[in-house]
Amino acid sequence: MTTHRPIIEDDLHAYIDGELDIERQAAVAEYLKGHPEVARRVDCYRRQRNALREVFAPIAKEPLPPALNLVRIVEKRRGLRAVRWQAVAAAFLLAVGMVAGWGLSENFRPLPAGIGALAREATENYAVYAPDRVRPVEIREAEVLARWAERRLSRPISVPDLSASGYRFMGGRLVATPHGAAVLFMYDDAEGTRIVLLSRTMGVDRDARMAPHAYGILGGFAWADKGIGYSLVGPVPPRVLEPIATAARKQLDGT
Amino acid sequence: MRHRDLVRAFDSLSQEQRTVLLLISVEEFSYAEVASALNVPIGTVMSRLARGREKLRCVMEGDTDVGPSPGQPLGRIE
Repeated sequence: MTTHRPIIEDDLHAYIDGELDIERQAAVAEYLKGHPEVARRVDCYRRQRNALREVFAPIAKEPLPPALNLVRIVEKRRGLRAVRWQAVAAAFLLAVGMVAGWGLSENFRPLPAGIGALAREATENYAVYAPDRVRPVEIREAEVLARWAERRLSRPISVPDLSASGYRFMGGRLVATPHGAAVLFMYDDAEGTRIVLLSRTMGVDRDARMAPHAYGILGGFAWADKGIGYSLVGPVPPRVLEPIATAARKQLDGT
Repeated sequence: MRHRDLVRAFDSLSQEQRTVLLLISVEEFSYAEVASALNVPIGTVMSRLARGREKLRCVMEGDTDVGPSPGQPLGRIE
């Protein structure tokens, strides 16, 4: 069909890398049928891509030359996402009673039903969304997210700024819990470690002091204030997470 | 060795081109992820990728018939 935009050089690469939508993908494939010389070039790029993977993938885990420092940084991030997040999710889903600073220490206390349920919901949502490479958050702008959540949850929403603790706001989304809709905020630090803050209206435990919780290697702190419950969850030790939770609570109390 | 030739050709690319090629071809990052990781526009990622691949192809195949520049129309679909 002639209704398509002309195929440009960039399309060929996006075609090889699976970056095109289905329609555009089909358009490029159609174009290549009629242009064997371009098709040969695309085939060459594709073989080149596979060859690079063969050459470099086996050494991806080895120390990289200094010239590739940047790659190492990103590789580290990839490693965190590809390995640690998957491990975190798997560890949680298997519900292994592992202890990593959390667990059977004095930090571990079964929490009361209301806050305990909230803690579990926050951990479950962490396991679903934090490992997500493609779309960990639905909305990135704090104000847009807050407006949306306010409309849906019929209460004022403010997004804590955790940058002083080294955690950048990534965005958030509305999520479902057995106790109604909740809003989930996600943050990450310079190494790509993600933490989430889940917040919903509380039926019981409408006011509760901050308390630690742990499921597998995922630890958290949960509290409730004036009928709104919060749980901050992440794969970091309690001594690291507690001050962050305290910072979040102070900001939320102040609103 | 084919792989040795590839590595040699790869070394002849600019640092920017190597980085983008590695992240996209080997690490399978999306263009958007690479743009965000390198803090450059996505168009820059795509042009580095296209130029890197084309240069690699020329070196590998001894082909001097360089393809069109990134962003240039290749021609309309009939």
